[in-house]
Amino acid sequence: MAHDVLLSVDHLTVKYGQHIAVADVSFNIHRHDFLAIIGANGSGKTTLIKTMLNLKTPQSGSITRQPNLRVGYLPQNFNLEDKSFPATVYEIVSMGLINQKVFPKRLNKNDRFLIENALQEVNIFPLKDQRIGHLSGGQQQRVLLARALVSSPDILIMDEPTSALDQSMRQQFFTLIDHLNKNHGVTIVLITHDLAAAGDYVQRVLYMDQRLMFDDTFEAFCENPQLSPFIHTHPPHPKEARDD
Amino acid sequence: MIDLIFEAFQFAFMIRAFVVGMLIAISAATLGTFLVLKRFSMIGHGLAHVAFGAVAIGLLTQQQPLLVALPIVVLVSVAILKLNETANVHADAAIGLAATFAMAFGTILASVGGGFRVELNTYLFGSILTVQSLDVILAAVFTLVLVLGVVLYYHDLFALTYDENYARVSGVKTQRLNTALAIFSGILVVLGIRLVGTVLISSFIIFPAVIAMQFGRGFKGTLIIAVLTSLVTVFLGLLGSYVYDTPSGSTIVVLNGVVFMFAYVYHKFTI
Repeated sequence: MAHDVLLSVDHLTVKYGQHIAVADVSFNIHRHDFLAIIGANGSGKTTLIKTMLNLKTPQSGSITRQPNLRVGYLPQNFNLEDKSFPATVYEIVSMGLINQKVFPKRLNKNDRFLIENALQEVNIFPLKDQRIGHLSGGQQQRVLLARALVSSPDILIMDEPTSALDQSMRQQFFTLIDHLNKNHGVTIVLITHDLAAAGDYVQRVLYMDQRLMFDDTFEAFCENPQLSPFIHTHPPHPKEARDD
Repeated sequence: MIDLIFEAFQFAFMIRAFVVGMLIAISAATLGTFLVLKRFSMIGHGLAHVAFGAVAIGLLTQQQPLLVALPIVVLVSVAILKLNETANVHADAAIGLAATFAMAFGTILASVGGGFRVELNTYLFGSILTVQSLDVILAAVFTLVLVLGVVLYYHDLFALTYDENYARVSGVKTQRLNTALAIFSGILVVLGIRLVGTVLISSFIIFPAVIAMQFGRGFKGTLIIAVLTSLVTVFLGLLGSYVYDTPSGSTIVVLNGVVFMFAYVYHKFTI
């Protein structure tokens, strides 16, 4: 694997029973990429990233990660509806460190420093003792982003991170992850229906329809008359968004 | 009344009941916090029904009923988990399947056996008179292992409870931990039967966690409040059952119900 390739997807096929969700997909993710995966509902986007995260086993093909690759993950609208779960912002962010700990996992002074740094990075430090369910959707998304960032990931994988946010919050969110990409060297991979908002930041676009139909720069995507209408596709309402 | 309370602690069976009660209170509240927040709280109720059927087998075959029940309930608990994980059967449906089947099976055995029906009833509602020294030892070992396990795997268990997919991505052995939770749930239900019976054991799992959720802001705080609540209600419930000559399990559950109502009102007006 070339030194700047963080993750390599090679002829990947993933099925649910007889249904093929991802068909013979191959691509590489390079360090510092800002990559958007787009496609219609059911096109295999979420299945692809779940397989990249080892949450799903492929039927054929392989995924090769650079050794010791640190992966941050921001799931789609996770648990945002559950207001009763008793966990503070601080506790949720501390969860991001468990992949670096060995048994018996304990938080030390340095871990607490990292957690507070991550909270400050996404501007939610004053909320650290609040119950997660009492925050707004935008604040909760920042908490999950801080959880993904606390372990200083090389690559941040996000599944429709802005689907629960309003227009101004989306812009703020993309500005924040662009800052992480440009200033902290974090490689960004996100599924989005919102290329209109993400377009200012995205460098590379993968268009999925079970197969990988397009893999090139954002500019090349915009110039493609068959695909460019996707830029203006309205994101689905959170209630309508489904796991594909 | 003070005399009655002092009198209670002069009987060996009462001391055994209090010790087992406190130990079950700690383990049920600890386990219950994870199960309730994972939306798996009804597993206690389901396994209690399974225990009823298993106890009936023990009585019919003239074996020690709880020793017969222990492996059966643990196996069914793991089977419910696997059904939920692999066969695409929702947890509530898997619990319902196992519970109703076992209850029906136990009832048929009771009808065939005839003679042990009265004894079977003591397992339905429990009796502090039946708590033996062996129960104290088993409850102590079980509680020690459970609490130690939770302390050592606290961060993994928290991640598993809040976001199982994230926990897996972070390298947590989620299947192993879920299996451990299922095994501990099965053992807890069997150990709690003597004290509170199969009908009420699930309340020991559910009430403390739900009460604590009305107060606790964070996960660790909620876990600690659940254990403290459970200890207080079990202690006062057992004492109340002795003083007022009421069934121990029912007294504890009613007390939990009252505490929950106060906690709910407190939560509504303060948080």
